[in-house]
Amino acid sequence: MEMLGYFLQALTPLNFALAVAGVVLGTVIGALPGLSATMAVAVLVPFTFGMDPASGLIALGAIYTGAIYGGAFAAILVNTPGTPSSIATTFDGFPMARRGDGNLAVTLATLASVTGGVVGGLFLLLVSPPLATVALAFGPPEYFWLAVFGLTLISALSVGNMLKGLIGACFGLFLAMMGVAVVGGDTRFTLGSHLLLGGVDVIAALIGLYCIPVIIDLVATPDPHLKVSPQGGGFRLAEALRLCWRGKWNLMRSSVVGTVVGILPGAGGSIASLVAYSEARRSSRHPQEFGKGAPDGVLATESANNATVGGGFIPTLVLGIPGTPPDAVILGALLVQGIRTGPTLFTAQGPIVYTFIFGLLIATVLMLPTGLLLGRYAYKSIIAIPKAVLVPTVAMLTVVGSYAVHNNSDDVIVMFVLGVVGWVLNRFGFAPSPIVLGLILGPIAEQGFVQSWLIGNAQGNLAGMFFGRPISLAIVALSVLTLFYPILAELWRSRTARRLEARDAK
Amino acid sequence: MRNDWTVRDVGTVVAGLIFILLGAWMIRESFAMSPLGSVFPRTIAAVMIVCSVMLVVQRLYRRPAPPADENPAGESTGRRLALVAVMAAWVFLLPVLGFFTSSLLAFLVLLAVANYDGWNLRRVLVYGASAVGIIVAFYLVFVELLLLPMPRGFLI
Repeated sequence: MEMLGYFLQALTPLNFALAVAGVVLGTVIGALPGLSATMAVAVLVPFTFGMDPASGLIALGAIYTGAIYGGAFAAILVNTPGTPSSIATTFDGFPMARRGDGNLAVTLATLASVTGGVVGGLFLLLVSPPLATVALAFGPPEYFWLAVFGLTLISALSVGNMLKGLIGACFGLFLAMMGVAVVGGDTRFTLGSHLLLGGVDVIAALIGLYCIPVIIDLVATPDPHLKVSPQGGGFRLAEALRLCWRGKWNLMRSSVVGTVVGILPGAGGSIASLVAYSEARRSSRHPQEFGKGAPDGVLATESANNATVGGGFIPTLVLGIPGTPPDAVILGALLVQGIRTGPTLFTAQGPIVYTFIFGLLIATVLMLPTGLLLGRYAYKSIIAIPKAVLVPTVAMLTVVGSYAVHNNSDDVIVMFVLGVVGWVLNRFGFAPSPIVLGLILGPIAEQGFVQSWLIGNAQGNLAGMFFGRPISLAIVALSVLTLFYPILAELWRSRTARRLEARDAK
Repeated sequence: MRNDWTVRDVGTVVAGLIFILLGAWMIRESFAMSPLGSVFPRTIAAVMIVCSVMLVVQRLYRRPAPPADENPAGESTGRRLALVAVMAAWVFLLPVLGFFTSSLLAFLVLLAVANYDGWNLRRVLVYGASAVGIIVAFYLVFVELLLLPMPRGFLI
């Protein structure tokens, strides 16, 4: 049995140790307010360059899932989301901690995270291979439209301003164009400098865009005086398991919501947990308890955000399009490892992919013991790490990390400059994720676009090439819907309101 | 035209104008490229210019959603600038001074930039020791264990 072999491969002492270490490190970084999962993955990527691809991927996957989970500690115990994905966990987690049920909330969050993570991982294991078969039918136009879909989705999700999201995406595409062109071989936008001849390195750019703004903002304020809510003794595991059983439908629904949101390009844990939370409240028999310490609220958000991990890997591995921001970093790491993602990955590099998926599942299950112990015994010392030491350490990781990609000091300069530019743009509402997605999808989009253009011109049917293929059309329709969804929703709402008014007037 | 400008609005308009210029520059550069290499940059530059013009016009005439806190009380711009300056020096001195020396210097200065609690002998000793410890650990892991050819220089 092939799968059993891959499973055992994921259980070798080295891979198992990496999964444990990754989960612990990820949880610690996630638990520190201000440091996100994307950042945890970005700063720890260079450690994996020396490993073989499967082990490196397992380590990164474990860090990722651990960091998403770790955010819950800070959310529950000090009412500060440790990562953006645990924002919704504060709604009910903190009220629970305040009435003395902090230990129960942490255990619930742990069980929910493991459940969500396993559901997402199983989807990854079962859905990716058939999806890869479908993706084999994709030609250049499909890849082009898929990239466009990813970009419109993330722009539409950019908080508050879609135009800024689109401009950010174009800026990312511009960065991706620097250096030697993927088709045609022109040298573009290098300003005559050798520094940019090889283009902007994706990993260096990601470290800069995601980590430099964080350190710049970390030094701006003194250490917050975080007060850890006092907890009773014990894990209250039996009680938590009973609550999970009672909320099993909620748990399953939230895990599926998380997986699906993870699959959508660019949308990650923060959106998934908010959607799952509102769904849980809407369908609950006691919606008035939400926000006042309802265990179901914690179950919903924490299962959803961890389910995005497995879900997000589906487009990342099958299509080479990152499902969530941390996946963008992992995609960059895969390129460094010499692995080309795409539909052929599952056949050509089967052993690596399946070993990784099993490794991710093992890491997810490992969150149960490590998370409970960390939350119980180490949380107070984690949160006591002073910023004064944290800031230079993270800064150092960014410098070493961007250097390690190609052993080149020029990449460090690119990382730093982009980081500062990203911080300034972020101050004016241009979020980093559209820029990053543009940078990652740039080559895919350009190759698809230029190849379709060439084939279309040769056939004398340019419009047919772009708009005449069924899969393309479906993706175009999705993109248009995404782009105009906010406007359509507004129209629909006002029409319903008018109809209600008209009915009331009768 | 509105007259209730916030810093964020002005920044948005300035950024929009910069992106319009960037798009124009991209199109100008694209004339020197082969037809294959220029088609994508031109398309993206056009999208960028159109979106930026819309953004600027929108900001000039329409009141946007109420802005978030511009600069919440107690945030230190000075420390931010200091951090950027230290990191810039670090990044550019890395090939000159070598990894070990530049990192140690930058680490110590950043400790001072990020510390809000004042200094006493104990803190100086603890932070100093953790700086040296962390740098040595990094050096051992990356240079000795992972065999990363870090720039050498002044000290090591």
